[in-house]
Amino acid sequence: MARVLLVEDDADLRAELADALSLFDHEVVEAEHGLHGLSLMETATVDIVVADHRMPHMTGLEMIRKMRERPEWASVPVIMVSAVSPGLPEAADVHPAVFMSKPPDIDVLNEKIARLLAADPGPERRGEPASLQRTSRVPDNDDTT
Amino acid sequence: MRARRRSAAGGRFGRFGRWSQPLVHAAVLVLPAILAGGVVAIIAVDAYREAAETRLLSSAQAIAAAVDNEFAVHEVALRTLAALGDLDDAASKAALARHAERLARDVGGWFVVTESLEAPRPAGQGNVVVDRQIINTRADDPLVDREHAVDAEAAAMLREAYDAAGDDRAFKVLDLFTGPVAGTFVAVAMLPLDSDRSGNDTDPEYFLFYVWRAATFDAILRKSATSATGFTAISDGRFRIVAHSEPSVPTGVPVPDWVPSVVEGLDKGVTTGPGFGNVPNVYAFARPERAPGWTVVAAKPRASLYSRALAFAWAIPAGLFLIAAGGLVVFNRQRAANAQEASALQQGREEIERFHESIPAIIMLLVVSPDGSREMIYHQGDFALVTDGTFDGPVPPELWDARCHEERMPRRDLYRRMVEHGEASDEYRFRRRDGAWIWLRYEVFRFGRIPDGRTEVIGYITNVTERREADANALAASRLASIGEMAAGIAHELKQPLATLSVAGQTGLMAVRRGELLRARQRIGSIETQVRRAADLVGYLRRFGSVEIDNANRPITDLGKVVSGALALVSGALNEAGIEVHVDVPDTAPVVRGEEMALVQVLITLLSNARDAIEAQPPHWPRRIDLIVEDDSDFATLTVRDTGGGIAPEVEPRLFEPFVTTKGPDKGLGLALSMAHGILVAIGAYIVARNLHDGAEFRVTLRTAAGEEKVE
Repeated sequence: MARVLLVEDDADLRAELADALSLFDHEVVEAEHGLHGLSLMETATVDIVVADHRMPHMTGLEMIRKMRERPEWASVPVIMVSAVSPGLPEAADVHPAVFMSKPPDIDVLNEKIARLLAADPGPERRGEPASLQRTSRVPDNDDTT
Repeated sequence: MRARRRSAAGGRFGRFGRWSQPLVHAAVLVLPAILAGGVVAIIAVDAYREAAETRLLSSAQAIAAAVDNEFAVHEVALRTLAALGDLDDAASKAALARHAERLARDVGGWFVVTESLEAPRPAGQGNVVVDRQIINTRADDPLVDREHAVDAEAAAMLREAYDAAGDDRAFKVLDLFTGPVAGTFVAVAMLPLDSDRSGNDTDPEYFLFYVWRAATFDAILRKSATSATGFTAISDGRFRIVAHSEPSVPTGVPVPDWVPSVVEGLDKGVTTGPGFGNVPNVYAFARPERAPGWTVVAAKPRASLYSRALAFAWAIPAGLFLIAAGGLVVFNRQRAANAQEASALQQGREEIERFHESIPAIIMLLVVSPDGSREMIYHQGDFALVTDGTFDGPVPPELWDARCHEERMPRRDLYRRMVEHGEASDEYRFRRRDGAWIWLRYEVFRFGRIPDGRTEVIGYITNVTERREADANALAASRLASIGEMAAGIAHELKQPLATLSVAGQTGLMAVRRGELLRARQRIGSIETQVRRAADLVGYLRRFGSVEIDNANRPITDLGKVVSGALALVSGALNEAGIEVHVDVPDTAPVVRGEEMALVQVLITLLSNARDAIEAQPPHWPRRIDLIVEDDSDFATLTVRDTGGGIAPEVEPRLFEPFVTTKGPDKGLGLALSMAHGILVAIGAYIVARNLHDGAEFRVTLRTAAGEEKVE
């Protein structure tokens, strides 16, 4: 379905979320914190980012802001899954982004991924039909397993 | 020399030979008589002089005794106030101020309690000796009011006197200092005062001063001067005249230049020197015991001592009579001086008794022998007043706290300690009829030494229940605050396994629905792991709440476990704050004596403080904590170094005291570090803090189990 960058500092929770996302046939790229996530994005194209907010080195919100500074990442949608909302609705400069409280309902998470990808397929896919059936267009990368 | 003198004498006798024989005979008869008369006269005059000098000296000694007695009364007043002194909170300060008021009224001076001995202000603004006054029983007096000046010399003197006192906390009679009102002289005694009476802390927090006008001495001096028909004076350690029997002569002037060199190093003596108006005087001087720097001088014109003796010296019988009379005078004078000294002591005792009447303390005067045995000289105080009306006599034995009573230091040891250190104390408790505890404090001070080797001791029994309760409450509050911090940490740490559980559960259910049994099994396995992780955390909290410090049975603890235990609880929070933690623990971590959870609590406190300090720094400040364990066979150290900007200078001296914090009200009461300090002290470890270039370093030194065996 989609190539998801999952950014979460707790390894156990990250593993469970990755497994849950793979249940919905998403391909998951895992990162430990915001900075790590950004560095992975340099080498692997992702359709959507699912990130925690409170993380060492770089918070989720900081990461989105950095993303929005780069034209190629400016419209990659983000779902922030966190116990504490960093105030996404007010932070207009980070959209498209939605907030989900932690722990997430995985069905809702999947729905949100689908809806965000339908609303904005991202710069690389502009002109393509927003399809939930779209498979990964990115060559397999060992880093992303 | 001797030989030449003899030959000269022989020559003179040769010349006599040329005179007539009768004259020679007359000379042989009369000359020895004249010579004998002369010798007797000289002896008589000398005896009279000596008697007069002894008389003068006795007079000086009696004055010194009276002055000393005055000091003794002041010392008792100062010590009484110190015994009642408890400055933990506003209420105890108010109570102390009340006692100070009453004592000040009774002894005629006034008390000042200050928080610091500040350096003088710049010239022109006046210099303040006693800054940050807490209690001043004569706030209206310009001499010690902070807005008015006390001279810079006095400020330096107080500081110097305090520094010189070192560990000796004895009462010090300080020199005089001048106030802004010309011609006013005030003497000061000072006692460092702690609100923490445990004796762990050697640095005083407060200074208690007793100030009085030197005019107190005028009456004593004038009275003695009249009977000695000379004049008397007293000078301070800087040889300035404090008080004087001649109202016309100013005080505050330096004594003549030659005096210091003559009297220095002597306790008492008689000397001759130029007096006022250049009439030679005979001076007798003596020193009050409690103010060794001070000198009491009794003086008489030299001529008056000899003239009377010489007037009668021609008569042998008069000479002989004078020898006898002189002896008698000396004897009577000495007796009078002794009586004067005794009456001064009696007066002092009465004064002490009077001002103790309404003070909630029992006061005792004892004489303690070097072996620790003691004799009660007097004992006064209202037991009902001390025990809040619970008892008016001795406490029935069944109400004593047996364990506490057994743990009390044997009296003999207490007195021995007092003889050694100048003071000693202990605290004990008993039950009130309503079941509550009453805590009493018994403290003894060295008051004076008796020539036979025994020591005069003042003892106080005061009620310290309120302070003990406040201490206990502070400890409980501190424990709660730490538990609060810990609970916040645990709540945070629990959120992750709970979130993981939730996701694993949902995925597992979905996998079951889809018939993906392998995936479902994996998810259940992960649920099991997460439940364990959560249970461990909860278990930790439970153990944390029940930390007991049992010195007799201290378990040994691996410092590596302490580090991993603390990190398990706070690493999440440190990570979130974006702080890098560098841990350096030897492969075989040192093993120390101490409860693991207590040490974990200490380390959590240090790490949480480091985190808070770093978080308060600007965004691009380095965010790093180094946690280092080192093993030095007998000792192990645990160091926490942060980049949080360091300890604020205003907090540094009181860093380990309760309720000291630079953090906002949301960050707790400032109890955690004092609690950590308390834990470490209880297990015989210690902690020091210092500032590095970009942060603070806390170093805990613990005796290793191996090192402890060596000591034992």
